[in-house]
Amino acid sequence: MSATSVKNWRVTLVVLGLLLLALGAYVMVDTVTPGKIAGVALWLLLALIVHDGIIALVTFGVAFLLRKAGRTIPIAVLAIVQAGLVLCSIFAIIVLPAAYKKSIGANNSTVLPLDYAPSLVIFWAVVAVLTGLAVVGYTALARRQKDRPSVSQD
Amino acid sequence: MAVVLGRLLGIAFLVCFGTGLYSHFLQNPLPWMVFPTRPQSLYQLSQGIHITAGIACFPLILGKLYVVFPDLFQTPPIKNFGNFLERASITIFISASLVQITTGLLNTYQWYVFPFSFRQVHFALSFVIIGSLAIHIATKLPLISRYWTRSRSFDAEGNLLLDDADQPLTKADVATELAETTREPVGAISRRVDGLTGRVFDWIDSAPPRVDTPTQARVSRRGFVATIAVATAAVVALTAGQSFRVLDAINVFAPRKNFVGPNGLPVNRTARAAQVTDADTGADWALSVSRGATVKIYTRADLEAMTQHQVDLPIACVEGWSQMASWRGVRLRDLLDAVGAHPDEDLRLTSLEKKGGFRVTEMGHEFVQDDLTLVALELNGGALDLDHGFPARMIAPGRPGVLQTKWLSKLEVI
Repeated sequence: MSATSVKNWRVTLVVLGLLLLALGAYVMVDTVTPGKIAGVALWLLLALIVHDGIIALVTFGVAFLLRKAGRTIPIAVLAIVQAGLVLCSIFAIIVLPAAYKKSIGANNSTVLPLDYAPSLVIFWAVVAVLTGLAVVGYTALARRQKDRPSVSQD
Repeated sequence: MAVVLGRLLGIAFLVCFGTGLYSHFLQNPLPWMVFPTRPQSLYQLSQGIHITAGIACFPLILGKLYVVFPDLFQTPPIKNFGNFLERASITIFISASLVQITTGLLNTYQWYVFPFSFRQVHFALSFVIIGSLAIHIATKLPLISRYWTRSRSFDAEGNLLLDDADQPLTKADVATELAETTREPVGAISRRVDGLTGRVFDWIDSAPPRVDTPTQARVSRRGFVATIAVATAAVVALTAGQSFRVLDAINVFAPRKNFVGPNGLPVNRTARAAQVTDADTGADWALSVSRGATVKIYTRADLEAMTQHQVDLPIACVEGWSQMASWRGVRLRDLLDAVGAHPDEDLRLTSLEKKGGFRVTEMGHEFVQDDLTLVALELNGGALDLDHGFPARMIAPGRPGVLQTKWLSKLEVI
């Protein structure tokens, strides 16, 4: 992409973006009462607090622990453990609210009819077992390869 | 990595935006709009994709935020006007996206804990998200363009190709820069540790930087992208069964499950919630069909005595779940022919429900004239359950569930 076409695209995208933002603001003001717009603003603010204050901090903590652990643990093992943690966390974020809503009562019996909390625990257990097996498998494989000097171990 | 995940996330958001607009205009059509009635499961597909892509956004957006997370703490927080524009647009984007996917998920199981109306805000925020995304892409375009293709991102051995500006500064670089600034030679750079904060940061920094070989960097990079891919595939696989029959067997986390409910079909709004009682739907119930001054009244027995048609059509809810079902009843066109309706005339439908945004709705002539559109009396081999719209409900191809009016009381040609 040439410098001129990049510039043209950037200008087009910024103008399009600003127009869409204005449209969004107009639709909001046109269809939502001021009191409820305040509610939207509150939730937008809460989302930033959750992101910057909670998710970012937890991520920072985990990244820090991984960095410290990284001195002694092979990077592939770290990647496997990280994968397990990420999977469990993402499912917690998606499923836990459903499990809680089910516990306090859904609008009718066909909404949230499944066993969310037990299924989540089973899912976590399966991920934990698979993560463990993957680590054991990788470690065994790495050890075996180490015994064969012809194979690169970088 | 940010470009790879950003590209997927951008596609997911655009898919949600497109399918969302389709759903919006089906429910709030502009006067000139005409919609396709085939394939009959079009809305089942479009809204199933909308909700599934929305759920897939959770791992994608969290993965993307993780990758760019160090930028959150850049110093100084704002470097110049371009940087301000970039940070402002990304702040709006992150905030609006998180609210959008969170309230969207809560809406799929009708949990309205937020202090605003879902439909209007979801619609307005969609423009805000796509608008801020466009600005974000504009600010990042050189980077996106630089790493768009694999051949420009990696060398022959699969190592990431970094530009000079992307290379981290070494102590020697810093010493050189300092020397240039002060015009005096600078000795070895040492660390001074003061107080608790200093000690904590020193402890953090004391971890020797990983001397990552290209292979290790590849493992780390590919491992993370693979993790997000697996997480996205897993959330889709374990929830999309509510919209796509083929995945029903492994649907363990979706808010709805096929075949659970009266007549073997889930219920969105119960008769109780709509304040429709047995008294409203008892022996006195009758359906009024009118065109101008011509009015015909049908009891349920009258409708049962007419030619009955059986069709297989999905009920596809705006909240994403859908299920194919077998409906039996009177073809709508037969009822309207009896009052002399023209093929290009639309229809107003009124329900017995006492209140609600969809008590009175309109149906375009393309749906009215369709062979498959029925005033249904039976569902899956039995009489309609009260929660499914007894005594009579509408079922048409390619329409959102909220427009498949239950507890019909009045049909007016307009």
